[in-house]
Parts: sequence; C-alpha cells; structure tokens
Amino acid sequence: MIAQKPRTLADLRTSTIAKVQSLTGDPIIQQRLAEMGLTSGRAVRMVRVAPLGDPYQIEVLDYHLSLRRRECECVLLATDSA
Amino acid sequence: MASTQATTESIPVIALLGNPNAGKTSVFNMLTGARRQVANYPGVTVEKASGIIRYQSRRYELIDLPGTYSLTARSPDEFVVTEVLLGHRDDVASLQVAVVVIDATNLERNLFLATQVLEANLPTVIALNMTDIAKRRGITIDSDKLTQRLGVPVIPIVASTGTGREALLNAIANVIGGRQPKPICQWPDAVNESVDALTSEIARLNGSIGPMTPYEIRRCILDANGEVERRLVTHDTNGNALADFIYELRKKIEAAGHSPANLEAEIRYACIAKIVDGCIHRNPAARARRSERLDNLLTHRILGTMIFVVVMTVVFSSVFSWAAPLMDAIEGVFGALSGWVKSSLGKGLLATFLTDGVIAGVGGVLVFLPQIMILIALITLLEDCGYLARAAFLMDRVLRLFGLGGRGFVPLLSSFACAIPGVMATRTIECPKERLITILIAPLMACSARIPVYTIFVAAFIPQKIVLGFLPLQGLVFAGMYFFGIIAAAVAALVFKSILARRTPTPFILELPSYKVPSIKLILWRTLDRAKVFLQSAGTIILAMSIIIWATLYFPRPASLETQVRSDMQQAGITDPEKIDNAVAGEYLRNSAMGRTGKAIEPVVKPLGWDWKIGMAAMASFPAREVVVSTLGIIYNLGDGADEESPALREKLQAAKWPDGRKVYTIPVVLSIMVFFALCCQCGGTVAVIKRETNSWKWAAIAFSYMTVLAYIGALVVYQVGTRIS
Repeated sequence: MIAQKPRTLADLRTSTIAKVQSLTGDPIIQQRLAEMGLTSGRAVRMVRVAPLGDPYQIEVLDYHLSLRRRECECVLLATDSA
Repeated sequence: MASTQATTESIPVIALLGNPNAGKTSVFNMLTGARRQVANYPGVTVEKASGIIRYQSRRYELIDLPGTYSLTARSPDEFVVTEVLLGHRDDVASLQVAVVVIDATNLERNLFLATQVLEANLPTVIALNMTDIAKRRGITIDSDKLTQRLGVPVIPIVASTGTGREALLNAIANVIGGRQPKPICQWPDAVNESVDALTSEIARLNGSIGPMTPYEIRRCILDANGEVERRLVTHDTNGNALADFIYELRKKIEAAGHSPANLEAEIRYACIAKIVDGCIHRNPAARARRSERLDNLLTHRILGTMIFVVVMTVVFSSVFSWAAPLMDAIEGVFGALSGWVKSSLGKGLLATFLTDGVIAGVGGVLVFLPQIMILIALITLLEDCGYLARAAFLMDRVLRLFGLGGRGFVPLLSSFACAIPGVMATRTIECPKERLITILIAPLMACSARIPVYTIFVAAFIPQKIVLGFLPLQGLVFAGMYFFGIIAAAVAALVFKSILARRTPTPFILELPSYKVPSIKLILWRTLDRAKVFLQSAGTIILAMSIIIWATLYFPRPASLETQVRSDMQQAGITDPEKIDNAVAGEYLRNSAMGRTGKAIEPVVKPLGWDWKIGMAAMASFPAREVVVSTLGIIYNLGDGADEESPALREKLQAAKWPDGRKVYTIPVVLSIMVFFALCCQCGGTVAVIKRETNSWKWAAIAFSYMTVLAYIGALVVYQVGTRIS
C-alpha cells in the first residue's frame, strides 16, 4: 500500500500503538500538543473514538486525553518499519 | 477584611500551582482549613482566591492560582498565573514560596509545569499528591530521590485525607528565604543567544517596558502570539520593530534545527524522563485497567449514551424538581414574614418598602440557592469522579456545530431550569471563548420562570383542540416555545462564534482523568463556597435592582388618587372592600413612575401589537420575568394575588379591548408576547451572575442588550407577519 498522505494520529486504528514522529500545523496547536506529552518518539495508543465519530480518546504518558480529529491530524506518526 | 489586608504585607505569601485534576483545591483546603476569600483579578475572569495558613504560631497567606498544564501564557487568564508567579502584579504581594501540586499517578506530565515553575527563581516545594491512588495502581515513587534530583523538597501527601500536612508545612517553612532552585533544563545555544539579544534590544528600544526576567524573555521568544509577546509589542513605541525582531529570532532558532513551538516540550520531557528514571516503579500486575474498563461501558455507543441520558435526566430533574419544595419553603417563609410585617406595621410606606422591597428582594435572592447548591454539588460530584469529562467527550461533536465544546452541555441543560446556576456552572469550561459564548446563550434556554408566562397565555388563548389526530395544540405550542429558545440559542452561538473570532486558535484539549471515588468533603466545600460567592456578589445586585423596581412601581403616590377611586366606586354602587382595594392598587400602579413610562412608551410597543398595559407589565418584569403575571393581575384590578392558574385573570385578558372595541389579545399578539418573553433577558439575577462570572459589566450589558433587541425584533416579526396571514 502506498500512502498518499503521511500517517497521522487520526489514522491510527483503535487499540493500536504508534510512535509520534513530529507535529505539524498551527504552531499554537503544536505547542499545546507537545506540552501535553506528544513529543517525538513518544508512544501513543488510540483508545477509542467517541460514539459520534469525534473526538478521539488516546493514551499518552500513562494518562488519557481527548483530542478532536483536527488536532490528531497535526500529529504525524513514525512509520511502523522505522 | 481590613485586618487581613493590613497583615498581608508582613506575612509570607505562598502561591499554589498545579495541573487541573491534580487535587489543588484539596491541598488548599488541607492547608488553610477550607476558609478562603474570593475576589477577581481586574480585567480577567480568573478568580483571586486566598486563605491563611496557621502553622507553629506563624501565619502565611496562600494564594490559589488557577489550574494550568503549562505556564505558556496563551490567554489573559493564563497570563495572570505567570504574572503573579514573577511578582509583576501590584495587587498581589511578591511571593516567598511556590508550592506545585503534582499528581502521583501522572508524574511525568505533571512535572512539566513543575520544571517551568523551577525557573521562576522562587524557593519551591513540590506536593506529590494522591500517593494513595498511585499505590493502589502499583505505582511507587521514591520521593527522596526525586528531591535530590530536582533540588527542591518533594513531599508525598494525600490531600483528601490530610496525610502529609505537617511534612508539607514544615518543608514550606524551611524553604522560606532559602536559595532559589537551580533550573533543571539546559537550553540550546540558539535559544540562550536569542534571549540575550532580545534583552538588549528591549533595553535599547524602549526603557519604559518594566523589568523582564530572562524567563519571560524566553517565554516571549518561544510562545508565538503568546501573551508576553503581545504585551511587549503593544508597549513598543517604534511600530513593528520589536515584533520583527522577535520574528527574526524565531527564524534563527529554526535555522539552528529547532522548532520554536515544540522545543520547550522536547527539552523538558527529555529532562523529565532522566529525572524520573529509577524514581518511579510500576508493578505491571497491579496496573489498573479498571478505569479503562469503566470507560468501555460509560463511553459505549449504546450503553454509554443511555447512561448519559439517565445521568443528565437526574441532573436536570434535580435542579428542576428537587429544588422546587425548597424554593417553595423559602418563598413561604418570606411570604409569612412579609405578612407579619404588614399586620404589625399596617400599610404605610415603611411597611410596603420592607415587604415589597426588602423582604421580597432578599427572598428573591435566596430562592435561587436551592438550585445553585444542588447543581454545583452534582457537577462537583461528576467532575471529581471523572464522569463530567466523559460527558463532554460524548457531547463534543454536537456542541461543536455551534462553536461550543462538550463541556458546555451541562451548563446549558441546567439553564432549562434556571440560567443562574447554569451560568455559574460554566466554570468547568476551560476555553475562555467557549465559556463566554455559553454564558451569553444560556439565558435563551426556556427556564422555569418562563413556564407561568407561557401557561397563562396558552391556557387563555390557544384553543383546546387536537391536531393531526392526536397532538393537543396547547401542548404543541408549549413545546414549540422550548424549541424556539434552543434554535435562538444555536443561532446566537453561531453569530457570537464569528464575532468573537480569537486571534489564536484554541485546541480542544480534554484530559480524561481516571475514575475515582469522589470526595464528599470537596463537594460540600465547593457547594458552600459557590453559594457564598453568589450571595456576596450577585445577591447584592439582585437586591438593589428589586428595590429600585419596587420604588418605580410605588411612587408617586398622591392620596387624592385613592379618594378619587373610592368616591367613583361608591357612585357606581360597589361596596366589596376587596374590589375597592384592588381598584385602588390598580390606579396607583397605573399612575406610578413605571405606569406612566409604560403609557409614554406605548408607541414603541404598538408595532408589537401591544397596548400600554402589556408594555408596562413587560417593563416591570425586567428584574424577574414571572412577575408579569402578578403585574397584569394588579393592572386589571385583581390585586396582587393573581397567578398563572387564576381564572379571573384569564377572563380579564380574554375580555381586554382597545378603546375602539377591538380585542387586545389576538393570536398574533399572544404569540408576539410569548416570543418576547422567550428571548428577552428579563432576569436581574442572570445579569448579576454574568457580571460576576465574566468579571465585567461589559458582558452583562452585551447579554442584556442583545437579548432585549432580539426579543423586540422577534415579537415585531411575529405580530406583523401573523396579522398579515390571519
């Protein structure tokens, strides 16, 4: 499968874990996400998606955080092979 | 009060900081014995809360700063934390100690703020809270090792039970006047050079900018569009010179291979990982998944939604129905008091002032307490156990359509009972813009005070027939008024969303804390605290308003008026003393300042299809909309006892005619009145509470004006369109 877009946190399947590669998008959103622990190399787990399809529940640094799809798309994930 | 202020100069001042959900309030209560003074910082919505600690015959002042994840100053509210911490506020004495509360179950994330505070050059103590819950989850933390590595005392405590109070106080007392902590994190050369460059540039450009610590300078460089930068740039008398300079510095940092937005977090979390390495031991077997299993149920597509509906139904009915007997009791007590004053003082000016002005006013304030206290208790319960965040998680998608967030749901739902506790409940909304929009639209929800207004007009004028085979028309109109309020609120939210465009986007960050058993102590404390705040600030405003309105309804009061009415009645052969009294009361009211104004503004309300009596009743209802029913009663010579169930008032309304013999209350007029009452901000309490919660008269005035204008336009359209159709 050839990925058209870089894989982001919004693409992460429920109950799977991936590592953050970098952040993108608005600097203010990047800064907030990084402060909440989404720094490069950090493992994140997609816990679930809210019943209405948004927001998402993720686990990072041993705690649970809810982010909207828009914010999840700012979190680029490292490819599995990397 | 005065004595506290006089002594704050001499007693050591301690600031309390921490992440939301770290148990900061419990620590504050543990240290101060749960007594605090509340005010507002000028210009922002942040509450300024402080208390006194007594320890070993010494006194300390503890300042409770709002919970925050970081010292990055994005909003004026967050900026207050930084300013207090750095001693830049004239209204807060400079600090001697910073106490950072951190959650032992979430050590690394909580240490982020702690390492920032360590750079503020203040002796610091770290209170490692919730060590009991951590232990149950198999997390043990070596606080001695942490103390060594951080260079400041780390004291394990359990604030909810008071464990560790002595040790924490002892540590605080020991660090006062001690050396400043050394910064934990090392910054890359590019950042250090930029800090030096900006420092000298500020000195060169403009000496009038107050002293800035290297810490603030760094904040300014790293926080794009942050509050420090904004203050610097607005003080810059050289146009954009400083802004451009900062922009160039950021470019340089980027050129050195760092992202200014993420640099701080990358550096801090790398430091934190080193610090906690070997200090924290997790027992994987005990690792609690209980919270996640609960989440599987509580945020489940079907079951979770059903539980949500049940919980919200309980919240709503508690505010709506459970509070009712208590409110009735309060009204009963004040009614009896008023009766007793009347019977002992007669019907003179003093007695009327005391009963209709003061006693009715105080009763009108206290009557809100049951709803406020029940709602605050329930919200604190839901928040403390962790469910409130899940409710926001479930509802976020729906509310986002209107520029709001998931946390707006409970305040808006509560506003269907009463907007006053609803507005007070918006404190759980973190984003200032969302909170403001929620506050502004909450009063459009059909609160319980609108019910009597709808009841009297629906019962008197909407025919009792069945439409579409099974739907009662009266019920349909009633339900329609509820939907009308919701739609108006949705539209208003969208308008405010576009008007209040923020300079910077606020990301939606919602922590979903692990579920825990709620603290009864905290619930009781918060409930009493909010009740006290309501009485102190909003209560006085409501009381003042009701006395003013009473006066405009009472004066002027020439005795000749009464003589005239009595002789008229005698000539007409009416001898029933009650009828005569009611006629006198009606005549006085019609001649009062309010009555005359009502007549004077008849041209204004005529396009709505109203006569001056409706206009005057609507005006008299600005302190409390339900008053319209009893005011109409007095105007129509029925005395002050008429309520929405009163058949006499219904008949009077049905029979009311214009001088030319046309009926006053046609269907378009009735709908126009109901639409006006649905949209208008006829509630002194709501205005007072909005003032309190936004800390400005400006927003209270905006809420009042936009609703009143909307109500007038809505009523105008309904009447004008209605008369043309029918």
